[in-house]
Amino acid sequence: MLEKEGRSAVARREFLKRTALGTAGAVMAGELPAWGQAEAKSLVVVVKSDSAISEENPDRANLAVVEKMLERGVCELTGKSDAKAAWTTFFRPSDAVATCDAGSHLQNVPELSVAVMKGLALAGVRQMKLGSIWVAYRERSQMKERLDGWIAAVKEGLAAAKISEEVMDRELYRIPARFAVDPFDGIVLVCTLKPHYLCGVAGAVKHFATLAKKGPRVYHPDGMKTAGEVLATDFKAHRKLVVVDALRFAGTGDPHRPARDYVFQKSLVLSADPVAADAVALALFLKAGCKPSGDIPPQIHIEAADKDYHAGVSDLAKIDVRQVKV
Amino acid sequence: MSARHWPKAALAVACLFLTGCASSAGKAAPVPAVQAQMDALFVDGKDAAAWKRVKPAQFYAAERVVDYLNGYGEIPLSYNLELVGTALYSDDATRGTAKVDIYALQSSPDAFGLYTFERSPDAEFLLDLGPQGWFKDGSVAFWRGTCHVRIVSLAEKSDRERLVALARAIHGRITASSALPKNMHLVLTGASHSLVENSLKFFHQKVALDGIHFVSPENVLDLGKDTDGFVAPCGYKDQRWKMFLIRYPDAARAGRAFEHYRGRLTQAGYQVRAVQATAPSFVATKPEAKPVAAFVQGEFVGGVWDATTERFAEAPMKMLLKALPQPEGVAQDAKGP
Repeated sequence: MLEKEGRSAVARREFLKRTALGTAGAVMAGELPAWGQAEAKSLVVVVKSDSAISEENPDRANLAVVEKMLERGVCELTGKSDAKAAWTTFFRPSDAVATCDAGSHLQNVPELSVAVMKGLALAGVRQMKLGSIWVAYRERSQMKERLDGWIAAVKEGLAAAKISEEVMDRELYRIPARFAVDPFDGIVLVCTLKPHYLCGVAGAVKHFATLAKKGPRVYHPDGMKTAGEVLATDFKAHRKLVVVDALRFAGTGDPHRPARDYVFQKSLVLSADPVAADAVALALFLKAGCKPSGDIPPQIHIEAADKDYHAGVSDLAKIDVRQVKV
Repeated sequence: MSARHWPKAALAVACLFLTGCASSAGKAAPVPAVQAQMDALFVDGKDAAAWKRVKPAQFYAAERVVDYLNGYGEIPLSYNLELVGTALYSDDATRGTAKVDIYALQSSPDAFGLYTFERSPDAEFLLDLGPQGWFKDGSVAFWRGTCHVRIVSLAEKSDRERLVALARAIHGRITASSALPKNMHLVLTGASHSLVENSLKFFHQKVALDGIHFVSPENVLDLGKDTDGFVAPCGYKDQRWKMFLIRYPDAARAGRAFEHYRGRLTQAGYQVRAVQATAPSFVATKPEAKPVAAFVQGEFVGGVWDATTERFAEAPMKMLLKALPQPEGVAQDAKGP
């Protein structure tokens, strides 16, 4: 094996060795630039709460706790002590901001989508949209009622927060998606981590490729090595916040049915750098005993996003990882 | 400590597979004759061991399969998919729900290939389904003729007997004869008794090989729709290796692929040592990497990946080489491990 042995197999051992997730590093302050405009050291915040999710009811979470986790995460990322100040560091009142759901084999908990929308409302952005693949394709489903639980939970959370359900856009996440076509200033990318038959493990970088103008197919070959290209093209100008729903990982990746074998991490992983978020989340995923799909080393597309497209930092030694407990 | 859990609401995600990201399902006209034949395979009621088809099957032609299966659609496409049909079934007896996917491939060897891509050697193998079928973790699959059939339980607890009964009902409607890939016997002969039972994989393109054994992000071996490849996991005592054999359309292309592979291994820091054999061949080693061996003979490139030791790269490679048709006048000097 060429790449796997020459680079990734060693990298994986290093990944795991270094996943003590150190706490050193300076707090980032002020405006967070669109990635590529450069912070020397990427910052990733891992927020954990044992009360966020119950293993008895693994597709729902405690909204109040998830909100608190997200708030602590953005505060730690920005060095602000106040949630509003933290959110407005990312997104200005003049901004139009889109967020997405994770969809596919492992949907994010609905409470996280609600918490993100509440954060954007707190920032007072001019326009916010939730592009949900489940909303986009619900009408064609043979099993509508099964999607409806998630959609209803999001709507209920939005209503309680006095946010119009009109923010749930039916067209935004139809493939090819419009996230990079419509004039958004910022993207809050919500994703989960799951074994993936084309890139080993799907996380933030792969999810950005799914949202790309051309659709994901052009990025499918070769372990999805080119997925990170979209961060240097379609999404280069967007201010980005990545929130990985790591409350639970998918332990297996059977493409024929939903994830069933959950591994509970009870964490959110946040960063302005999608590549760094992926690198840290992947390290947690592997440390938790989850396995990539097939024989494809998941590091390949993450490292390529860094080295080939300069879209972020994949080397854990160069990432400032903060752990926060809620 | 992380805990593993089978969630009650896991079914919720299934809808996406059933609709897929079906932006235009139904717009593209699937191959009509194949669809008509396949529709008859979606049995119902008493013909389906009392399973009820919830709704008529949906069909996706090759150009739309990614709409249904998302990125996984690339895999059946690489096996020359013509059409996939899917239907949801319910079972009053067990209150179970199952999703049936039927893949129509262009040839029976292609159906075998897709079947091997998905099978795991630790499944329970079912010899009364097609040439072979399996059951594992609430899922049944088999291949027969040009069809690969996969049934997955969407219920929290699945009933093996009921799922297998549904599989048998569908199986009974497929009448086409089955055929294995050409040249598979060469790998079986080369691997001999060391082959891990029910683990051999057949593929054409790199996207499938990536999931079986990842060589490189680059298409080093120049795989395409016109190549046939096998990977055979093997073992002998505490030794493990994967035997591979790829057939190219002609010897010139095989030769170029072999040279390219050798060159890339050298670039990647492997020490490449020529091996005395009946065909151009080498063993490549590198610290912290598993030894690799390869040969080229005629239109074939073969060898060994992921060997535990250098010896168990070279010797099985020679065994495989010996199994191939030898050019006239060439001495047979291979020795077994």
